[in-house]
Amino acid sequence: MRSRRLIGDILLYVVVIIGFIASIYPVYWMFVAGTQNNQQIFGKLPYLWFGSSLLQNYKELMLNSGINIYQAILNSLIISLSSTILAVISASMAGYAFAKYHFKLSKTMFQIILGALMIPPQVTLIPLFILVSHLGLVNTYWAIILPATISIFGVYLMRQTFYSFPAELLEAARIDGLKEGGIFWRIVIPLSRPTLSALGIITFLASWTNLLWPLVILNDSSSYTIPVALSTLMGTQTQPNYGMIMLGASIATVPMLILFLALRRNFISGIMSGYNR
Amino acid sequence: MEQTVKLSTRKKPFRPFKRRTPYLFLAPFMIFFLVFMVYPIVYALVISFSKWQGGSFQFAGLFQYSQLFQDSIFWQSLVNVLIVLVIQVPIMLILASIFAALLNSKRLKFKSIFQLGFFLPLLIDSVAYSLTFSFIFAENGLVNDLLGLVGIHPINWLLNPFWAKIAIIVAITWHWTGYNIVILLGGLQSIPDEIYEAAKMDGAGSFRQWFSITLPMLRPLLILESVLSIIGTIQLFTEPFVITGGGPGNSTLSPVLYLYQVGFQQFNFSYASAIAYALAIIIAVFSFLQFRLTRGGGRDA
Repeated sequence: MRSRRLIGDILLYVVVIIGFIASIYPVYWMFVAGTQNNQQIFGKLPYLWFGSSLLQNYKELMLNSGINIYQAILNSLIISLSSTILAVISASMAGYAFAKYHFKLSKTMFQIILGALMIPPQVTLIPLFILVSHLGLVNTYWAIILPATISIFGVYLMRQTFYSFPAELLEAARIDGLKEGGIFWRIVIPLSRPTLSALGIITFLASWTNLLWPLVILNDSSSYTIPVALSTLMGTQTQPNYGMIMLGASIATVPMLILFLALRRNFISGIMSGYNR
Repeated sequence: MEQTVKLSTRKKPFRPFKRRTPYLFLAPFMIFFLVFMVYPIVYALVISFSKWQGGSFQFAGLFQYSQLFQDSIFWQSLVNVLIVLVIQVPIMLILASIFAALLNSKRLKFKSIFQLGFFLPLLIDSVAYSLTFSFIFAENGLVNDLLGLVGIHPINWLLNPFWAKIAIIVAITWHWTGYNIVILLGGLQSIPDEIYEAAKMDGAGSFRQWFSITLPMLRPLLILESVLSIIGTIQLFTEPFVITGGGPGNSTLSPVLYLYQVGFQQFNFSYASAIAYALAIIIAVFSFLQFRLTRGGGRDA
């Protein structure tokens, strides 16, 4: 009985460790390859340790890659942060209206909004391109931020959250003479922080990794976001320097790793929030 | 949920709010929603029924759609993503449910470190990991070197229509399995321990427990995950765009990549909009099937 248990334990660890290595190895390889040259990257099994070309790859990334990786990180941060803040605010305000007020057409409006969730985002690509071009916003932050402020899922999530917000608390605040806006900003919002941060994280992630729309609307390398900048690296040279490309990918990954380590709990609950329906 | 609804509707506000208050709360969202979503959705439909002639869109009825219906490249792109999702989604969900169960095991130590590792792929940008996988699958890249160790001849992954799809499947699976593990772990933690203890009393081993308790309890989550994965795979773009460019010979072209090529390399906006709406219909069908499937699951549960 005891030996059977031991075998089971060993099996458990072996399988988990295999999955663990498969998950982290490509990331490790990405960082390692950023320090290698093409011969090292495509040589026979040199994949385990750092190479000698870090400085050269870095120089090439800065001077010959056609992109500025730090500018791209800055662009991505500004765009993702702004659209996340705007999306969380507008979605929670709308969710609050649907949850706590009774007004004409509230049901119909909510159903139309949810119905738009069925339409895949690619449908709006061409009209948005025409619209944003007409507004003169090509190559600007606004071109990416404005469409990203719409979070239908956020409206849904916040409506669900605010439904269970105690009505007694709202009434007490009204008796104390607080206006409707004051109730929302000073009582409802501070008490809903966990859901708001969960929504913020998933909105941020979606904006951070979005490739297609920025690819279409940004054509000046100084306005590139990280995904767009990285996607151009392969095409800039006839004989690509693979180490340089991996170095760029590694540098671009660092902000997200830092963010995750700082906000680990919120990340998990953000991802889970989509499933607790 | 129903209870809380009743709670909030039963108690009328102490002092009636001004009539315009809810509309003020709705305004910011609705303005963005109308300008950047409703208007584009309607406009895309209009464009898809038109043709660009003499500097403006002219109504052309179903012209674009009849073109699309006969377009073998479009059909191939659809078949490509269908092949990918038929193979990839089941493999990913099986892997995710196995690893979620193992990571939830009481006998496993260093859980948080392991979980962190499985979560890591999710933090890597899609373009960054696609670039990494395109090098790993290069002709003299890591995968072929490892295969060489066990005596398998190198495979020309990215230049062979079949193996290029496999490379993309491996890449997507690597990126998304951890995400599904996180969701399933949440589901597992809500299964009461008593059920497992009762099963143990009845002499059920670990595998038996996994099949008879864990899997059925996770079924609603697994159905939801599979639907979201299917919809996500139909919208595949970044991986084929970066890893294969849709090649070789359109064998990894996805509908969205095709839409991108038609819309922004050939600048045929009408045709691209027709592709987008065809995609919307296909996704709607899958969503409808999900609705039926989850309803069915609720009935016999």
